[in-house]
Amino acid sequence: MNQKPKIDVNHISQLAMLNCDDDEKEKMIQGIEEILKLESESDFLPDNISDYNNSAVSVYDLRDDKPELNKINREMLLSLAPDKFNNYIRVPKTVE
Amino acid sequence: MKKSELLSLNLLEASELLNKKEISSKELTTAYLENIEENDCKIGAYITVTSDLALQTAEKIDTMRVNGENLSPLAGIPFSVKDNICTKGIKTTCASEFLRDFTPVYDAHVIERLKNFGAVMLGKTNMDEFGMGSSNENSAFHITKNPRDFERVAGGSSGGSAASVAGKEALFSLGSDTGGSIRLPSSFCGAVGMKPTYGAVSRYGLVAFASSFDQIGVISRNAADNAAILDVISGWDCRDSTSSKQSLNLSCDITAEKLKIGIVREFFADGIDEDVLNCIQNAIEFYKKCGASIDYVSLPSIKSALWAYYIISSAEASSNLARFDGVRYGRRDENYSSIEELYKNSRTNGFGEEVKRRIMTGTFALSAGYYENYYKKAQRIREKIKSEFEEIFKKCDVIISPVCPTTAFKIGEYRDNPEQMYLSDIYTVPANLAGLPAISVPFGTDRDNLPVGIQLIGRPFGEAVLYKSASFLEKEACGDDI
Repeated sequence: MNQKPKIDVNHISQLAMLNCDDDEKEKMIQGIEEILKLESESDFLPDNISDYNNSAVSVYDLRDDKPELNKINREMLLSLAPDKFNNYIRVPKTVE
Repeated sequence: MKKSELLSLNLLEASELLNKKEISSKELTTAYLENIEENDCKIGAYITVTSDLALQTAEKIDTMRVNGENLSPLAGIPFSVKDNICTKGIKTTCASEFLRDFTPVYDAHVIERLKNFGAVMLGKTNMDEFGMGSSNENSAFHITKNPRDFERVAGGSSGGSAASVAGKEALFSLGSDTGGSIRLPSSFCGAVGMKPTYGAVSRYGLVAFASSFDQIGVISRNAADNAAILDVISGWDCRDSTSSKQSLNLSCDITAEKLKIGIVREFFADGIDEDVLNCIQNAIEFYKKCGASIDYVSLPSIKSALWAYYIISSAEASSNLARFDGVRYGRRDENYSSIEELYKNSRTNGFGEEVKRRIMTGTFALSAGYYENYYKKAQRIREKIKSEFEEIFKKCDVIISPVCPTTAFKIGEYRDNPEQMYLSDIYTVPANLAGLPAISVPFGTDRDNLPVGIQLIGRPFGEAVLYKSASFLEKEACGDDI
């Protein structure tokens, strides 16, 4: 990856749900490039490493994926909502 | 007892005096609250101080003690908490404009544990927004200053936590470490900071930044205090799917002469400050003098560690932070005409510059056409680093290294140089990539009398050996016999 990648900032900002004006776009490209250029010679990797067991703890011994009885009630959730109406979180109209 | 004497007690000393009823928790808590009142305007360690709640808890513990109830050694001990750890009914902002008014409806697992043990929470500490930064300059609220020199940074991202301990504004603090966020500020402020093995402490209630790295840990004045707290907060929790059932055994009787210490050749390349290098050499000489065996080892993939860390952590951050959309909780922008605009405006105006940079980088690394070359490649590097560590730990008990190439830098010094800021994490990220425990312990100072931290990295669940090894250095630094 010694070639500089082409960063389509409009596409990336759309995926990331962020607005970028022209000044910010330039800054964002620079910012991404700052991180990408931290790469040194990584071409030494053997091809057979593909299993991402990269934690000190086994990632195959996880809890059962079953829902827990909810201890957080409607009132508590509503208390966090940025906007509410009656007993519901109010969100903008999406369909006219 | 005078206020200055109360503030000088370490955890184990304070606990003993509380137990003997020579001091009360209310006295101790009041001393800390007064110190926060006097000095935090200069340091800025806290975002929220919970004075009333702290005094109520302290009084309750004192009453229980008077009534002869059996209390834990942490009962009545004042502590602070990084502001990305959820506290029921108390604001948890992650130092972000987005969560400025967010009040969780539940406690994190670690908070439940400390509450059950009677510890007294003093407040929530400042940090880099969502844990992204190495200097605390990325907080939406204010910059935390280093208590040793107010012109310098406290380090990050748990800078408020480290500064609260170093500035005697808390007896210990909980922080979180994704790429060095406990060890780096501990090193800069002269405290002891432990990042435990991944999975040793439940992440339930920790606001996620990069879930495969994030780990809650402890910042304290010495290694023994640190171990006492880790003992309380560690252990399996069904609410964190990566929580380990392997328990931490923190007792260890290894002697200094039996220690096998590894020195990673690649860690000692150019770029380390001369004074930092002197301190690490002094630490190595000290271990040698004690009879420990020293071995030079190699971690060839380390040169790609920083890149791999920033690619994977940014990718995970872009995914984790997608939940902040202004709909269910947090900031909602007032100007929007569609749901997409609501998302975009809330996120654009709610997140700071560094957070947006990481989200964009992570989104880029995961996007079609780049995934193989970035995210997947970074994961392979991560796996290789882990296997290289495993080889080293077949013959070594601990690896010694600096925490950071420099001591605390001046506020604003790296503001326009993110690459230099990222390089501050060069010695700390490898332990996160491999999920290993690592501790920062102060050992010596630089030409400006700023503390230098030594990092010791251990085997998975090898925290006991790290605490013991750190305590040898502490005793040498104090001039005690070991």
